[in-house]
Amino acid sequence: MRPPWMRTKRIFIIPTGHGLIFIGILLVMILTAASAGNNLVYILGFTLFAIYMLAMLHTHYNLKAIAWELGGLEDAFAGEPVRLTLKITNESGRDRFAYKVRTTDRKLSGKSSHLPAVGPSGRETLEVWVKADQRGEFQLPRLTVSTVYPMGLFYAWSYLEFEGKYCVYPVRMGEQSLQRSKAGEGDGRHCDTRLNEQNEDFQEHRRYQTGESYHRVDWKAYARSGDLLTKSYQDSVPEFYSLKWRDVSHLAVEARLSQLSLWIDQLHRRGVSFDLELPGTALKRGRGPQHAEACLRELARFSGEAA
Amino acid sequence: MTAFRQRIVYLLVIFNILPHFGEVPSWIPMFGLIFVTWRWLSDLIKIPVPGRWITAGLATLCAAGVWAEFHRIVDDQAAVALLLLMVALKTFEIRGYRDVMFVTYLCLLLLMGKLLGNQSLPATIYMLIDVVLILSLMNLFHTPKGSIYRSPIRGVIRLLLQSSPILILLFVVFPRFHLRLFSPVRDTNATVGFSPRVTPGSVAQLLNSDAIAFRAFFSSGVIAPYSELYWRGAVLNHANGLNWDQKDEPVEPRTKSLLNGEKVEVTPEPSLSRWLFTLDWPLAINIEGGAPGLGLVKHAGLTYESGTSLMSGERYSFFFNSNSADVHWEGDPKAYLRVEGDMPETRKLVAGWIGRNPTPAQLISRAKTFFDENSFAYTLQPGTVSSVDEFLFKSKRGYCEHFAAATATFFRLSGIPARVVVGYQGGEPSLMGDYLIVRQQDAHAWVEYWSESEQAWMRLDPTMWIAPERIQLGARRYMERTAPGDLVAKQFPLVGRFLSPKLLSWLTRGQLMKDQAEVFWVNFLLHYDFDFQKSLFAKLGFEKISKILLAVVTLVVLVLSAAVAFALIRLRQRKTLDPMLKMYRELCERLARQGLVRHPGEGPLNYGRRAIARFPNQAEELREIFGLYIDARYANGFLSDRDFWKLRARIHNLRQITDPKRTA
Repeated sequence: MRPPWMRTKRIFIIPTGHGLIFIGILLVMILTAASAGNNLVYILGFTLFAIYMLAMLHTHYNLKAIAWELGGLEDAFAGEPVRLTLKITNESGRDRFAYKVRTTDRKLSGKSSHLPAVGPSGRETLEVWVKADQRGEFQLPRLTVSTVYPMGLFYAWSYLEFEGKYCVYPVRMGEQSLQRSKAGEGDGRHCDTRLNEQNEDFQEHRRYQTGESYHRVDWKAYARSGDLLTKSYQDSVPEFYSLKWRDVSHLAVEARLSQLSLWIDQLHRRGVSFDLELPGTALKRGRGPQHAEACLRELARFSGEAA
Repeated sequence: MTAFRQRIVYLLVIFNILPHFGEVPSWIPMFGLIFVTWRWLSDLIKIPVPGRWITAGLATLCAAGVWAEFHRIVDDQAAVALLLLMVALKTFEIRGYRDVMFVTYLCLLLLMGKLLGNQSLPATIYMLIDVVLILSLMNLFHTPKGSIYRSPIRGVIRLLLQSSPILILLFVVFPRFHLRLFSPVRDTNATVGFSPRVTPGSVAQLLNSDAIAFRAFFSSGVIAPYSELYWRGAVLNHANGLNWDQKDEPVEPRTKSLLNGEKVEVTPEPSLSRWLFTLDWPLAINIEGGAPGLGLVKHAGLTYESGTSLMSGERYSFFFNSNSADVHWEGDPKAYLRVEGDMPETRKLVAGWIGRNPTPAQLISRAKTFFDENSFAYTLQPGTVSSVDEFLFKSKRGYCEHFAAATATFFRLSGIPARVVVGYQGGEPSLMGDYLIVRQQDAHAWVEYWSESEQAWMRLDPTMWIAPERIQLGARRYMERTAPGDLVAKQFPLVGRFLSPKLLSWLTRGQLMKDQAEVFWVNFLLHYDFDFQKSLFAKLGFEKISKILLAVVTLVVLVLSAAVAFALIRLRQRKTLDPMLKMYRELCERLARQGLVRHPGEGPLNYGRRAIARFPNQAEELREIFGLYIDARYANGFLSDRDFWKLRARIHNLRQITDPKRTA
């Protein structure tokens, strides 16, 4: 059973390149001391050696002092990095410095994240970016945390393995224009309408419902009255869209997914409700971030076999 | 890299260059300083920094300069000089972290170069400070910018203190091999001091120097009366007026074996002179601590010279006997009769005293009377006197070399073989009284004459007639008596004239304390070798110690110390874990054992809700526990000790949790 927090279990440590040079200098000193019979140079050499040994311990404990927790994990569209948030707790009573976190698999790692310092018993959060090139659902990859503090003579690292899955949505690509369907009308009346507000006529204010897009909130009205009102537009826009697999059948599989991904994203931003029909699955009409996420996840997980 | 950090690097380089003034020709550290200043100025007022090619050119020029100075590169001094210039030039291309690390490595090597020729207390203190600074710089450059809560120096000092047990153990047990990979450095910062000749004023000029000439340790632990301590340096046989020197040496004497002589060990300060100062008639003189091949030259006057000037760390010992008759003086004493130089009045004077062949005693009393009656003065500033006649009949003021040269001339003119000896007289006991400090200002000259009846050379110190206090008190205290202002002004140039005598005596005492500490430390450094290790381990009950065994012990010490340090830090690590967090973990573990694992990223609020739903039997208790914890940790962040322990007890009592699903 994995504990809910991650404390670096096994810490690995090796000398850095600088650590090796340091040892070289130390050997030169000891040889010189032996050659000249100079006890002061012996003392210098032994001092540096003792420091070297202690630097190893301190680097080790610099890493060990920290408990790592997975704070959050967000999906992303392909081509954008997946963001995961680490909650970091310094379990020791002194300042801890200079950590680097990246995915162990360098192919997956975006830029590595640096945590400059955590105060005594302090807490910090750190964002780590995972590269996401392909759509799909993935197990959170192993992370490497490392430090060379305090002297840069040793590199201590450890692995973090969190339970967690994230989805990479198909890349948003395709036509901006959207085939829309009136509610209840399956005939597919085509009307190429750009998804922009110029085509819409303001009709009335409605009370804001949780889950609606902020784009529709009348912020000016909010500033005046303090009530969150959404602008409702005249019927030139359909009340909802039906996104169907067969509507994009002229495209290749991945291109279809990309097209749907683009539309879902746009509709979600607009705060318009929609439903999604894929071979094997269908999501009912809805709107809001949870609905969009559910739809996009379906796209991410979509396997060609079912088609 | 911030300007602040960059400047700290420059300061460190400057700190490492400064002590090399006086160790290597001073143009080398001077150029080093110029390079660093150049770089620093270029940051401040936009002077261009030399590019790569100019820097390479400068490096080549520096190497050529070092070659011109030393005529070789594979020599520790030349290496140090080259290293110094390279560190200074490296500041031109400090761009990132790598360059800074490179500078710290060069500084460490430079520090080693400094220590090679100089094992002293100040060098040790300098080394400690420098190590702290270098390591602090390394630490600074591994601490992310903007996150320094305090100066890295404190942390490094703590690190050094933590590492000191390993350092001490290693120092004690590490076997002292003798590798002889290269010949040791000859000191060049030697003070000019003793020279084997006497000219008017040559001894008096050393009065200005309170630099230490050597320290002497007596095997009996008791120092002979100071007025008996005549440290013979060179015996001068060639007389030319007041100028005496060493020429055309006669045959060497032989010495009888002296079984009851006292052993004296002398540790000379680095000096350009090669003379080994000995008391009276030395035997079995032996140089220790140096390269094996140092030659030893024995002179006719039974004085000794080493093949090369002694460097720090080299010392010599001898046995001495004050009975001149124990020496077989070979050769003809008549070789010590020649007098050169124009001195008609002196010749007339001596001829008028006694006819031919007076006894030494007769001559001594005549000479003493002559000096007494003509009111000769013993002075620290004798002025310029060029001839014996001028001294004896005009100025009548002189220091020991004047009186010694004149008296020896009297002897020779009246047919008694005589010679002038230069060396040191007296010395100052250390604070603990266990050794004697002889300074340059103790330099002295006296006379030895040939006694036909004893068949031996006898010592005669004319200074005793004129200024017996000089001999009884020693040069330093004699000066304190006769010219206190001068001495004080010399010792404490800035504040001396404003100090009270009492304070001055304390300052002198302080100087002696410093010397005691210095000697203790340097002696320890010089004597800690394999023999010392053997005797140390013998005292601990380990009789047969080999270097291999010590090497094994060293390894064991390393492993043990690593284990101890590991355990120590681990122990403290446990203690410092936030008790609140620790308690919460216990709670989580307890619940996890019952099958309710906290999700990653799940906060206590949600986890608590799930727990309450999962264990309805304990719902009330769990709600309170989670509530208390959340309040204490997230709301007001405070829980009194009593409440803390109560809460802990409640968590411990959760043992009775029963899982409804399992029991069902």
